[in-house]
Amino acid sequence: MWQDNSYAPSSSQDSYYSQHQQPSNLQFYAPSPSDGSFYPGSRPSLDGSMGPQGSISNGGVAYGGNIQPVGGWWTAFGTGGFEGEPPLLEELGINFSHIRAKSMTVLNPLSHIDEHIMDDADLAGPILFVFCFAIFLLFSGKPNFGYSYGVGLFGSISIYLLLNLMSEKGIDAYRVTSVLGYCLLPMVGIGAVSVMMTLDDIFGYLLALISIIWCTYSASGIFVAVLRMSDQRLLVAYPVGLLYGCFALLSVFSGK
Amino acid sequence: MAHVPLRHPVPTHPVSLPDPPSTPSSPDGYQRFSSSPGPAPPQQHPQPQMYSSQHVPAYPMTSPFQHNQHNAHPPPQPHHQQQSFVPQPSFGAWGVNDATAQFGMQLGTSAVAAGQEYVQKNFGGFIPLTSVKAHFNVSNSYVINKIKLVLFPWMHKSWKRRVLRTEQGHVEYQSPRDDINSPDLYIPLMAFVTYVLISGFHSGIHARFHPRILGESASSALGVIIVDFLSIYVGCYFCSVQTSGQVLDILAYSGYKFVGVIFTILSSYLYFSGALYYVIFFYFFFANALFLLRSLRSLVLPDPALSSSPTANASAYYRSRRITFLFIEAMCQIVYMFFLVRV
Repeated sequence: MWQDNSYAPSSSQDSYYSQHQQPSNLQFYAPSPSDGSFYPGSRPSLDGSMGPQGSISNGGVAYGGNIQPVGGWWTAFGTGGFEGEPPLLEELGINFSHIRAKSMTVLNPLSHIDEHIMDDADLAGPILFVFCFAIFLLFSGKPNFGYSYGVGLFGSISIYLLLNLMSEKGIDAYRVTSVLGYCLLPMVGIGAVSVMMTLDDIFGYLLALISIIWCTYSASGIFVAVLRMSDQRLLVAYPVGLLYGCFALLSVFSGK
Repeated sequence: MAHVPLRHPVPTHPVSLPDPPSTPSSPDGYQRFSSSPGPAPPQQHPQPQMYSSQHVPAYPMTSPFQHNQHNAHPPPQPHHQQQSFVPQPSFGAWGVNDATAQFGMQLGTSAVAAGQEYVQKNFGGFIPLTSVKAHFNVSNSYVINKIKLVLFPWMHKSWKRRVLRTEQGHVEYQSPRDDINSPDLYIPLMAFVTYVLISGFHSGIHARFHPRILGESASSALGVIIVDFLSIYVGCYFCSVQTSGQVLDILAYSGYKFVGVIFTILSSYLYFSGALYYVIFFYFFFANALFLLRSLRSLVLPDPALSSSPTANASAYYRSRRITFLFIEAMCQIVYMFFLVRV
């Protein structure tokens, strides 16, 4: 029944912590034989984002989705928490080992791209990277938080539309944003470099160009692997390269 | 789109979404809420379709991304197609009179459906999605050859677009992947964005970069495209050229001038003297003009084999006018390109 197997906090915590030993398994919860019944009807590719909402139902109330808790209102202010409540990071869908694994895949341009790497498309890593990028730019004298958010949002939507128009197999927007955000990691490195030295000379241009090529190479590799497109890698790489070029413009030239 | 007589609307089952988990304790379906509205949670059911079928014609599913539209239905109704009777929503817990609430929901649903039908009738056929998708069906070799064609149009011999006849006897053009003469939307779009970025880079090199320059140059380039498109469209109207279904082609042809503009700006970084820079600019302008003359010829002066008989006499009368219009259009490009080159 729904309530019977929705509280398995010990087992889910074990599976959460055991991700270190299984770096190749990127499902949010380790797939168990009862995985089908754990989230009946949920898409396996979105397990990571649907997991926390599925375990919110609490307290033995009959209607699924009702979050009336047992215990009084004072338990909200204590540290005990509600009965059967999952840990906070798990509830938010932030899985640091996943983030680290995906970042390592992006940073290593020679690694083989598994086509299921982006099945749990979480946005926590990308948001973290864009925020770090904007903070590094702030330290180097270019406070462009609004512009980096705008470029990121507009670019993600454009790439989503373009990829859906160009390929037979569609892709959803969360996955596009997740891939683009993870592949921004070399650009964050450029932002860190720009704190210490100015990038407005020929060496800076070269460094920015190398990081654009690095980001574009990994992002287009993931897109081509996920969408199974044939001989269109350059056509996918060019718009993605333009987007990262926009980020590079923000980080190289100061807006004085 | 053919006129559909009034009938009971039958929404299609969304195939991209699996059935949501059924809550065993609520027998009439599932709930997707994260919090219950009150102590007596109402049996929230979607508006039954049969109540709205009296004065609303067939519900037009016009959204291109079908699964998104089904997500937007509040609340979604995949479970209820198989049931013949759906109980009334009881709004007693919300303090609203039952009959009034039902009437209000009915009115709202019919208003939304009428609005969608109006949009569909007036703007639905303007830019069909399948045509947009066909314009993005490009390959690596097509892109390279097309850019070569835009920059050196005097090297190309045959400019006719290849047609294929479908089983119904319709005549339609082949996609860009198979036909080098077919216009696509990928190159113009990429050239537009590259132009915006290059203008940002140009201002950065001259130490006057600000992120708003990206937005400003994008807006001015978009303005140039709109003016060019309108001039071609209005000119086609005055010369009585049929432009139905060719909106995307005209947009594509307007976008090819950005390729020449980008190469002109790039050549300015190579420290050529002033005279050589203008020579290069005029070369790219003439190349673009020749390309447009040859490509728009198939648009403005239709092939008599393809057109139907009533327009054959009209095309003979308008022929000289159309040729003049085409020439003026190609010469106007210098104004646009000169405006764009001044980043």
